[in-house]
Amino acid sequence: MKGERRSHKKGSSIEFADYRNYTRGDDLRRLDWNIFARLERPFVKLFEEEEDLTVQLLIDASSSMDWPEGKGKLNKFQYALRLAGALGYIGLASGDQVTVGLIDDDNNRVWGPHRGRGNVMRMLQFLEGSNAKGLTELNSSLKRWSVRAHRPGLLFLLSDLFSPSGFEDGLKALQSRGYDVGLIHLLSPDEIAPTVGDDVKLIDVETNAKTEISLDAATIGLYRSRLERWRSEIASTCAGRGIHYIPVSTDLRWDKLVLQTLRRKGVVR
Amino acid sequence: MPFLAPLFLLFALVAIPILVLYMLRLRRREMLVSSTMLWQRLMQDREANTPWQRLRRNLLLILQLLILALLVLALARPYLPVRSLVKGNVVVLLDGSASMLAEDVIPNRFSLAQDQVGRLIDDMAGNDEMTLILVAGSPRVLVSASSDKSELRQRSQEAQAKPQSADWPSALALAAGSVQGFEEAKIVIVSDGGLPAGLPAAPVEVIYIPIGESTENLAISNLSTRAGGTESQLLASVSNYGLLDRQVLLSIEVDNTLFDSRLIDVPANNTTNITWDLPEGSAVITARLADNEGDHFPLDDSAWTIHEGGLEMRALIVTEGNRFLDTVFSVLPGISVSRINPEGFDSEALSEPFDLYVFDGISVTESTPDADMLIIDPHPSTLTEATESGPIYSVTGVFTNTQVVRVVDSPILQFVDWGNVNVRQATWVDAPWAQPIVTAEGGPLLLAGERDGRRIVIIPFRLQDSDLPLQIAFPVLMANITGWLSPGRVVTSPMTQSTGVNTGYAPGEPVTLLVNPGATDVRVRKPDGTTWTTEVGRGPLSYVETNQSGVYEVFVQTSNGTQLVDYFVVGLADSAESNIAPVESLAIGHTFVDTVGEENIGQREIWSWLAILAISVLLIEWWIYYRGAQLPSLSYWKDRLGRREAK
Repeated sequence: MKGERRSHKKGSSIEFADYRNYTRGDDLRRLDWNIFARLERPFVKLFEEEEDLTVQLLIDASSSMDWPEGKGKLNKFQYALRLAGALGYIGLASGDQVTVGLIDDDNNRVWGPHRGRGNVMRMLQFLEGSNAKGLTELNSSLKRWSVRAHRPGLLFLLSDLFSPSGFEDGLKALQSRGYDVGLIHLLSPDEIAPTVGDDVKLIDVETNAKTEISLDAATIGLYRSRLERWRSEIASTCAGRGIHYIPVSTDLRWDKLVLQTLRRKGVVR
Repeated sequence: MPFLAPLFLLFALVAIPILVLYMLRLRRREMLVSSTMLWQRLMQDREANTPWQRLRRNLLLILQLLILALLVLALARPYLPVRSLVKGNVVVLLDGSASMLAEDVIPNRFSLAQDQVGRLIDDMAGNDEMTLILVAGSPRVLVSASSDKSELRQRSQEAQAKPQSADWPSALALAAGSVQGFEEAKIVIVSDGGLPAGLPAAPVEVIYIPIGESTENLAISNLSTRAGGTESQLLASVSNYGLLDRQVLLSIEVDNTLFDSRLIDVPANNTTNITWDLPEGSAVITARLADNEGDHFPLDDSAWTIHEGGLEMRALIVTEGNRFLDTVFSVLPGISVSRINPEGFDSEALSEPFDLYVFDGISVTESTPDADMLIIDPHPSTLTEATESGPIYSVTGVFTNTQVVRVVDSPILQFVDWGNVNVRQATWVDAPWAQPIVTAEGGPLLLAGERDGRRIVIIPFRLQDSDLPLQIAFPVLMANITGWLSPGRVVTSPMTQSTGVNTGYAPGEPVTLLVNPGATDVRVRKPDGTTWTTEVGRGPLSYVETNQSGVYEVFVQTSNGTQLVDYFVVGLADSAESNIAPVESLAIGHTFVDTVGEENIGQREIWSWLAILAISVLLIEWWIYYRGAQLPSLSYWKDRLGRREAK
C-alpha cells in the first residue's frame, strides 16, 4: 500500500525525479520516446516513489528526563511526550503507521503500530499514562529496539542523551537496520546554563553518582563550553551519518518547535 | 637563616587549628542534578589539562598557611648577616657644624650624614650599642649606649646642624669618655673634615666616614674696622676656598645704606683684601657677596661688623693743663678725648655733642652743658649762677681737716682703696642733690649725684693738692667715675687677642650684657626682627639666642623711655667651616684615620619585608576569595587576550 509521504526512494508515482540510461530489463513503458527520437539514445524516466511510511517515536524514559523537578515546571519527559503526541498525530493523520515506544531498561512499554486518524486518542492516552523512571543505557536499549523492528522507517529519538555509556552504537544499530533516524536532543535551561553557587556536592538523580565541585563563574563558563563541545560533537557525528540532529531547549514552546523548527529542518512538511 | 627571637616560631602551631577549620569548612552542600555526566567530563578535562588542579582547589588554604608562615617568621626576627662598618660598642660623632649645611649634595651634607648614621644603625647587630653625639658649638649626647634602633634612628633624624663651629676637642673627649670600659669599642666620625690640628689621640680605633663632594666656596673671611690716623678704615677679605678662579660682586652697606659695590677677582685658593676709608660716625657695616653662583655654602656670604669708633664715648676736658688727667684719660678704653683751654670753652664748644665734660679748676661764665660732668676743684666764682633751677653747688670755704671719717659703698669706689689717700686741703662744697661718697672731718671729699637727668661727680680738691694721682686707686677711680657717668657699651665685643680686631660673636656663643643699674628692662632685637626681652636683675645678663647671623640691636628701658644703646654682631667667621673641601683622612693624635672598609659582620633585620609580603599575600587571598576561590585557567586568559586582539 502506498502512503502519502514522499520517499527518498525512486518509484512509480507521478512526480518526475530524474533520467537515467536504459539498461537491459528496464520497463519499456518508462522509456522516454521523445528523447530517444531526438538523441537516438534510450533514457528511462525516474519517478519519486510515494510510500506507506512507518513512523516510530522513541521516548527516553530514564530518571534524568524527569527534570527539572518540582510541580508546575514542564520537565523534559513531559516535553518529550507532548512532542511525541504532536508528531504521532501528524503521522496518524497522514496515514502513516505510527509506533510509540518508551526507552527504558526493558523496553516493554510500546504502543502500536497503528494507522489511521481514529487511533489518535488512544495514542494520547498511552502517552498520558507514561512516566520516567530508572536507569537507561541508551546503547543497549536502542540495539534491542533495532532487533525487534520489522519494518524500518522513520524513527525519532527524543532524549537528553545523558547516558554514561553513550548512544552512538545504538544509533548505528538502528541505521544498519534501515531506519531513517531523527535525533531530538532535549535539555532543560538549567542544564544549559547552570546558576553560579558555592562549593557543592552534585548528586546524579539517575545514577546517584556524586561529584564535588565549586560552582564559581569560571567553572560555569567551563561547563558551558564543555556542553557546547558535546553538542557540536553530536551534531558532527550525526551529520556524518545522515541523522537529523535537532538540539532543543525545553523553554522553547513545543508547538512552535513542531510548526516552525521541525518544518524548517524538513522533518515535518 | 638565624633568628633573634626564635621562640616565636612556636606560633607556627597555629597552622593546626587553621587546617582543622578548613576541613570542617569543606562539608559541601548536596545538590541534585539531572546528570553529573558533563560535570565529571569537565573535571576529567581539567585534571588532565593541569596536574596541579588539586592544589588549586586548596589555594586559599595554602595562601593562609603562607601568610601564617610569613608572620611567624617576621615575629621571630630573622636577620641577614651583612658586612658592617662597626660592631660592638660604637660612639658616632655626627658633625653638626656649619660646613655640614653646605649644599653640594642634595639636600645638604647633614642629611647625607644622617643617612649614613641610619645605615650604621641598620647594620647594628642585636647586642651592639651605639652612642650618638652631635658635634656643634658644644657637643651634645643624643642617645647614650642604646641598642634600641628605633630610638637611635629617631634621634638621629631629629638632630639639626647649626651654623656654628664644631668643638672637636670636647667632642673627642666626650667620645673617649663614652667608650671607656668597653672592650670592643669604636669611634665613628661622620664629618666633612675640618677638624683642627693637634687633637689628642683617641683611646680606641677611629673610623672616618667622609661626607661632601665639592670644594667650591667663596666666603667673606674677614670684615673689620680699624682706627687709622684721622679716619677709620674698613678691611674686607674675600677668600676663595675652591679650585676655580672666581669673580664676585662685593657690596658694602654702612648703617643700612649702600656705601660701595665692587666686582672683585678672587683667584683659586686665595684671598683678596680690600680697604675703604669709613665716613665719620659709621656704626653698623654689612658686606655681602652677590652674583655668587656655584657657591655651595651661602652661610658665609654675608658678614657684619660694628665700628667701635662710631660708638666711642667722646669726652671734653676743660683745663689749664693737667698731666694726671691727660695720662689717665689717654689709657681709659672706649673714650676719645678732646682737650680745650678754659678760654676756648664757649657756646660753640657746647654745641658739639660730647658725652662727658671734665672741668678742672676753671672759671666758666657760660651756661653748663646738658651732659654728664666731672668737676674737679670747683672754682668759687664759676658755675654757681649758671642754671635756671638754682646753682649746681655753692662753695662756702676751704678745709684742711681731711681725715676720712666715712666712706659710702658705691660703684664709684669699687676696688678703690681710699685709706692711703692724703689731701692737703679741699673746698667745702654745698650740693644738696649730691651724695657725699667720701666724707672727711672737715667736709665731703667726693660727691656724686643726679640733677636734671644728668650725672655729676665732684672732686672738691686740686689733684696736685693730694697724693691721689700717685696711687693705684687713681686710674681705678677714674675708670669707675667715667663708667658711672657714661655707662658706655652694654656689650663687650670679643677681640682676637693678637690683633685687637673685633671679630664679632660666633653663632651659639653667649653674649654678656652689662646694663647700668638704672635700666629696668633689656630688649634684644634679632636680625629677623623678633625680640627678646628680660628684666634687669642683679649682675650681668647672659643672652644665648645667637643662632642667627647678623646684627642684634640692644635696647634698654629706663625711667626716661626706651633707647637703643648698643649693637653686637653674630657671624660665621671661621675658616675651618668656610673651607668646605671634604677631607680624605683625619689626623687624630699621631695617626691618620682613613675611610675603613666594611670588615665586621652586622645583622640586618628583614622582618619588615616579611610583614609587607604577608600583607601582599593577604591581599591576593582576598582577591582570589572575591573572584570565587579559584584562579581563572590558562584558557580563560587566552580567551580574554584573543578577544582583546579581535577588538
